Amino acid sequence: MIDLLAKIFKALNSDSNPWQIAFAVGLGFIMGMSPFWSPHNLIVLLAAFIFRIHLATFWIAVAGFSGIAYMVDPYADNLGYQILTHSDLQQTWTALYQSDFWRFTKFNHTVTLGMLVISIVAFIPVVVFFRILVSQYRAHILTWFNRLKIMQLLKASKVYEKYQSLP
Amino acid sequence: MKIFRWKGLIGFVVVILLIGGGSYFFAAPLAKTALESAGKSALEVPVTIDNVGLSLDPIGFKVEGVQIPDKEDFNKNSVIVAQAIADIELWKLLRGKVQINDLSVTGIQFDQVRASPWEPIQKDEPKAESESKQEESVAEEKEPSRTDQLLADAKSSIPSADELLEREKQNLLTPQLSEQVKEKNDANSKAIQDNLKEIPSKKELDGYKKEIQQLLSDDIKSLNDFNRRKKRLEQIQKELKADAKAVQDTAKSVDKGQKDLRTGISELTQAPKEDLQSLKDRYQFNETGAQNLGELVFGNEVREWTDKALVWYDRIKPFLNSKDEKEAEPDRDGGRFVAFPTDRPDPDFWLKNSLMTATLETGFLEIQVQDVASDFNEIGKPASLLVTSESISGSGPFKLEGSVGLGDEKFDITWDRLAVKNERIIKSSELEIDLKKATGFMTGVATVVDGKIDLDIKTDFKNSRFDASGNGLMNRELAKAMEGITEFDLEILGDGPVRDMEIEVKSNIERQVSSAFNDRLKEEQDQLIKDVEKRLQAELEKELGPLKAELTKLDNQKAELAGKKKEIETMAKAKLKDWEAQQKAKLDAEKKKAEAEAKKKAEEARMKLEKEKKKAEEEAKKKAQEELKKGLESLF
Repeated sequence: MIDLLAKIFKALNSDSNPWQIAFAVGLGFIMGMSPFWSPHNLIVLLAAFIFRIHLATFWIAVAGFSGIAYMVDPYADNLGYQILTHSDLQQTWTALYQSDFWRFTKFNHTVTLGMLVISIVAFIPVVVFFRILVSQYRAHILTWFNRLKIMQLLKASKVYEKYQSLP
Repeated sequence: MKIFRWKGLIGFVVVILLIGGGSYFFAAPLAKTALESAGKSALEVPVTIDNVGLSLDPIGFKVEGVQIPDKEDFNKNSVIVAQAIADIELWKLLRGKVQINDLSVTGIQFDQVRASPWEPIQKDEPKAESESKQEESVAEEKEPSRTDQLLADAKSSIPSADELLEREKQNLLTPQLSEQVKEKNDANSKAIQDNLKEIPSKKELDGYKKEIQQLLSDDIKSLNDFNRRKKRLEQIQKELKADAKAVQDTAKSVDKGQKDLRTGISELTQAPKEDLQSLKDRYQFNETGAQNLGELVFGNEVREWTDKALVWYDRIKPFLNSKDEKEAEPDRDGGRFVAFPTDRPDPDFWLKNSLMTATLETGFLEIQVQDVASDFNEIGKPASLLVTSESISGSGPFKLEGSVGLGDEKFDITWDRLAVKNERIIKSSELEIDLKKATGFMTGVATVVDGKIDLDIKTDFKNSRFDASGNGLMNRELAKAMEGITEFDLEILGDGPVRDMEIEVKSNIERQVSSAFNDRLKEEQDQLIKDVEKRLQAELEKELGPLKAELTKLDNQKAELAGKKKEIETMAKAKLKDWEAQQKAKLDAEKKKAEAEAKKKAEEARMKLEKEKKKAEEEAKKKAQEELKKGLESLF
């Protein structure tokens, strides 16, 4: 865990592309917010592995958003239920329900569907928000932080050397 | 910058393989834990499983050595399953749904002794439910058996006079009225006693007499003495008036006491007649006395059967619990599945078909269960249960068909040639009845709606032979009548909450023995009425004696009070008036005498003065004459 955090800081403090970090958070957001054993998480996981995003950030995001997801569960349940019982969509859902594959996706599970909708809708804003956040961090906080005496002392220490040696 | 990281595919595959492999290796232990946990949760006893294995072709589980402990006995298992093989739908299992296409269960045994006692599940409550149930069962054992109760009831249907009077104590007028009269008399006596305290005693009255005589007899020494005596006499008169009033009040109390007592005695004398009539009306002993015979003879057995049936119902019910409503309440964290119309239902759990063979001490049972689901609404049909046996204990085919889970629960039972042999039906110190042999034909139906059962099981018994003996008149009659019965029917009716149903047992056995009962009952009734009448009369005499004595006492008291009143009134009025007149006359005479004496003395003084004045005038005259003579002589 500490390694993962260190890697995130390294990524934040390095010249890594901010989009890589932001998309990692976005995908972690989808996977973390959904019930863990939701089948669509397989696609998210596949995306996380084959797209060049920051994996450590992705796992931390999964863990972080999983921790707060339970607070959103009731809203997701309500949203999922509203969508699944919406009269205009009944034909679609009924058709999907006849297929084993779609049942496997748990599309008719209120929290799974609700969370998927919430996380997909929020995906782009989350990514953009974190992209801006990383840039701002690097431009202001990191510069200010590096000027601190204590940081200069830390940079001279062996711990920092170890931190720098991380891949 | 490159967008894709194709090497990541390897990582993805590795992760998937790890999950898949882990699932395979841990599936069996996880299934074992899950099954034990589910069993524990559903049955509230620690269900144990020896081994769970995962088979790949066909995909399924093989469960061995299932032990379900008996809730009522730590040393017994209610069910043991040697082996269960389940053919599970993998595709659905991946979706978290358990669909068992076929379940084959062999080696089922019931009520077997355990190798070691089972440990109750620890709960927050101070006692595990099973433990408390066991304690309850121990407590229940201490209570008299239902047969004994019923025998006691039957016996008490013709009570003795003493028992009847004791039982009817609250309803009988005689003791109630006697108590009321006593209470009223006690209250009146207390009032009389309180009033009597205010009345002067004989000693006090004698004191008054003595003082009055003293005040009247001695000579009056002066006017002051007179006034003092007068004042005291007036005071005594006042006191005597108050005493007279107290006597009057007491006399009134005595009057009231007498009146109340006379009325009470009069009513009390009539009470036994009314009581007897009321008892005759209430205790109409006719064939209704034998109406409870079916319950008496078979009630205990029937209750044992229904208790056993309920044990089985409780064992099966947890596995058949379903969501009754179309949509379950939302689970805050877990969400819910919304079902859509389909011809391919998909509940969380679905046991499509199951065949079980069970070995009983008395034969074999084949149990077929179909369509047990977590949501019967979703599969659109109830679970069906079919228990059959070709022969149990030498009886003919047995069949129990049931449907459970979708609304009402219904069970049908048929049992041909139900062989009964040497069945001890009643065993008590008063009565013993054995059904030596009988062949029954049973049909029955039980429906459960909203936890309330409606049960109706009829059995026609033929070629029956009873062996009965009894102590006491009624039981001997019953035993004799029972031994003559060769055919009878038995109907068990149950109604109310499943675990607390009212059971009614009907049988034409009642009609068959009622004639013998009725003759005997009539004789008993006549004798009882005579005894009761005698007892009531004796009770009345016992109560009337002291009350009559009390009445005589009041009469005497009244006479005594009348005498005392007269005496006081006489003292208070007559003597003082006489004394006053006498004293007045006496004073007048003395006054007159004093006046006469004073007058006489004044006359004597006046006369004396006049005499002295005359004498002085004569002397002066004489002296003047002498001086005149002397003057004249000197002149001459």
